[in-house]
Amino acid sequence: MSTLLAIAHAEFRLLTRSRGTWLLFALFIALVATAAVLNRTRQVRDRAQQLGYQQLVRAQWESQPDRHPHRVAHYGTFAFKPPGPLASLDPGVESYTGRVQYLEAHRQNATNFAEAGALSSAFRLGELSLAFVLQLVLPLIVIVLGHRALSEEAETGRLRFLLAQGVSFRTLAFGKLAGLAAALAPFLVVGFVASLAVMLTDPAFAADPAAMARLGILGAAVLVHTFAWLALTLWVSAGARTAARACAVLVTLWVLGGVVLPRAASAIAALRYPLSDKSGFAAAVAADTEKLGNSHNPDDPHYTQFRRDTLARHGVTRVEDLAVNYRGIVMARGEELSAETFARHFAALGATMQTQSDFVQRAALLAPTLALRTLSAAAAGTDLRAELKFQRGAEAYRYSFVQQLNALHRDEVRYHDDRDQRVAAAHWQRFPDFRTAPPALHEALVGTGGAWFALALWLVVPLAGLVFQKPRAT
Amino acid sequence: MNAFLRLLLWEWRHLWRSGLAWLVCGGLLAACVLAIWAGENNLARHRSEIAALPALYAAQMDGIAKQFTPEGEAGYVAYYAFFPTHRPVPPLAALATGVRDLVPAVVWVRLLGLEGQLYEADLGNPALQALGGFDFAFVVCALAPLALLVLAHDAFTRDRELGRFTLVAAQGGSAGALLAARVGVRVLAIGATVTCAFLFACLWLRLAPAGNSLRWLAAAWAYLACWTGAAALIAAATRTVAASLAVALTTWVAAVVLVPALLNLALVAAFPVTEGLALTVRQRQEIHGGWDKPKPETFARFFVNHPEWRDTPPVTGRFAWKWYYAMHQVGDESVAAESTTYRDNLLARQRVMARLAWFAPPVYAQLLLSARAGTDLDAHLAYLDRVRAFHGELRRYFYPLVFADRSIAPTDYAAFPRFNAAPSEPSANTSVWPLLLLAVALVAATRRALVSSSKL
Repeated sequence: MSTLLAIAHAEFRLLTRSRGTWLLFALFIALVATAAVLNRTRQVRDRAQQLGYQQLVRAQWESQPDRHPHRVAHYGTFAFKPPGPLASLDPGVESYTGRVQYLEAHRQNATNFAEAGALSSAFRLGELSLAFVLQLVLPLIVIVLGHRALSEEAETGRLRFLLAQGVSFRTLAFGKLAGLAAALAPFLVVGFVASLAVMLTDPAFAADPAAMARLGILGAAVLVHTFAWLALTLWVSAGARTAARACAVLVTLWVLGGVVLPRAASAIAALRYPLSDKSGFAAAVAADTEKLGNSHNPDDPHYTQFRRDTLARHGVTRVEDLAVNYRGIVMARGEELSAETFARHFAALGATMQTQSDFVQRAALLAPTLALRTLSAAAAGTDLRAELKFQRGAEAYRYSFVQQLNALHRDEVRYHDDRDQRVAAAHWQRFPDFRTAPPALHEALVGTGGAWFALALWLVVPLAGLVFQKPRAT
Repeated sequence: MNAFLRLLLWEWRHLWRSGLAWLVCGGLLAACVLAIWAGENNLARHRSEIAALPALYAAQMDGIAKQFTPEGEAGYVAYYAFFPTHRPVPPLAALATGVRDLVPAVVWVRLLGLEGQLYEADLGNPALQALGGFDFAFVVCALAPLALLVLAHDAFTRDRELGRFTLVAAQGGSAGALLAARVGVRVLAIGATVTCAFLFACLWLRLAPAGNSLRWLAAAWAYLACWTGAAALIAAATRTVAASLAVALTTWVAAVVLVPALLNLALVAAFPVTEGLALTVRQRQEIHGGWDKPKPETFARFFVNHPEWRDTPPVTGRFAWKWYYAMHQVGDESVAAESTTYRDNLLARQRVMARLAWFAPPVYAQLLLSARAGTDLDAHLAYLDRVRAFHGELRRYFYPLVFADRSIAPTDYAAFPRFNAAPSEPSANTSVWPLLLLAVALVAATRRALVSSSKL
């Protein structure tokens, strides 16, 4: 044990005495600080802006004059998507999701104005964030600091000397591991302190009760990931003939796993599980709704039957004799049918997207970085699941306010001279405002088992490899 | 035979026998082919969507015809009729996807206010998009330089480490000639690999290897020239293999991974473009506010820009289609300034990025390759301009019918305007010169490094 500690100490001292390590540390701090400050600025600004717009459209909603309820339903409102709770740490998919959805009667609109669609094609090369630094840059630092740890001992012949002195290769390897881990600790501390600083100065942090737990999970995942790279680095270093060779192998793995695999996995997922196109999707929804019934067609079988049933239920023979406004009832029925159809199609669409993302998660078995990406965005509330939840929430809100207005149409507007009447604005001023929340933490983590497994595998396999690695004969 | 040519041939033969060179070039070629295949398939969805448009439009019009038989008010028909517009997938899109997979290829518009319809997002999985695009342009921008550096970084350092550098350099005539030959054959190998993949793409996608395609390939070569300079500088300025490898990899990571990510974040943080949200909210307020205003007021605003309809009979009832469409047009016109600002700011942000990219060749190459493929944001904005023009055409076609309160029969539908897609023009605002200038500067720096090292 004392030998192991001595080796660890020697490795740590070697690294901390090297100017290169300090240069790397300084660069790392600069990168972390830039990512933290710029992202925080951007997210706080975006969140304030979304909130401002949400309040503006609420004020516009409430200051409508007395109107016909169906007019109000067409006037509609907007759902703004606020950044996820930890978006300033990991923006996840948010640059690629829309920010505002127009909510109106009869139509489910897209969420528009995604950042990425309004940027140059160079945006696809990636955007800097703390998550980016911890996912991609930190492993690179591990490689730079650690690739020579064992390979250099073999290359210079010191290894034979050490082994002859009775030091077991395993002790040497794990001593180096401990020393490197100690040298990496300041990097991790800087990363976490910066994350914490960003979160504590971000108003969204206080608003989310699970924010601390999210940060904890993110931190745990980063820790496991960094250790996985450390173990891998030492394993490769143990098996390599020269330090340069170890470096080449590790950087190749890093490029393949961190840069190439995510893109290739994305391309293959899109091919294996094709998503319907927009025109086709809209046409399919419209056709299915049409099949159920067309309220504009006087001979439509569904609505003929519906009228007969409604009249029978109220014990009258003519719609004019109903105590309530039949047009409001028909409007509500139409909205119900079209919303049901849309929800069914949208669920299928969301399921396809989720299948695509699950495929990418399976690809994470090939590289730990992809696994960390999945986990990090899930914990930050900035992944696909959060986006789909927002969209479902916006649609549920749309459906609810349109149906409340249809109820007003039914109860507060007379059938005769329907269109010429207005209803007091006080009615819809009472409607609740649109609220959206990211998936709760336990919801967000559902389905990330594969990513945790991949991460654990990438930690355990190199560690086991290191345990059983034979010293490289020199 | 010229001495330099002989040197070049010698180095080429030497490289030919290197296992690493075959491995690197083979890996690069595989990545290129995979990327071309992925790029082609990535936009297949858009192609099939565009191909289905005539059938979808016909089906829609059949449904409308059923509702308005034997005839219906022109304004009412126009309310239900959506007209498809599309941007054809440019031939080179398979090589550089650009933003093509983020923006819609198809926009359906109807006679109502345009601003609310123009920015409708496409259907797509943001989680896949966020992982980054995998296309030929990406392989050229990111992986080809890495392959080049791996082969060329130790052009001198290996001999230096073995202590035979002076001897070897003397045989080549001068260190400069030797470096030029060694880095030269390596960039030729990488360039040949990229060109082979390009020719494969031409054959497979039936692209004529002329005009735009060749200009695209020229851009890729200009970018490689830039990295040739960098590789030569690294080879000349380092002493050991470990050092040259470390410097090469650091340069690559910084240039390809860090700097682009930093620039992207800085741009988004420094230039928020929010007019889109603003105009969406304001346009709705303008259009729907019209319902609560006296009709003459709306018409008065409408007639300012459209005096030709001034003499049509005034609207007296609760509702008239001509009033409805006038209200929508006034809504569009009231946000015209925001709309122009939005567009201009997007373009200005592009210009800033293009300028910053002078110092970040991978970013510049990405912009250049997507611009030459006609898949950048400029091309999309140009398409939106054509949608605007088409919407104007719809207004010019329907207003005479709507303002005359005419009814139309299903047989009249055939005369409705159709969108004519213009072939996608490559954007002309990026040139290869910055890349070539940088390459020249790097070569000059290499010469100085060689001179100072020979003094040692």
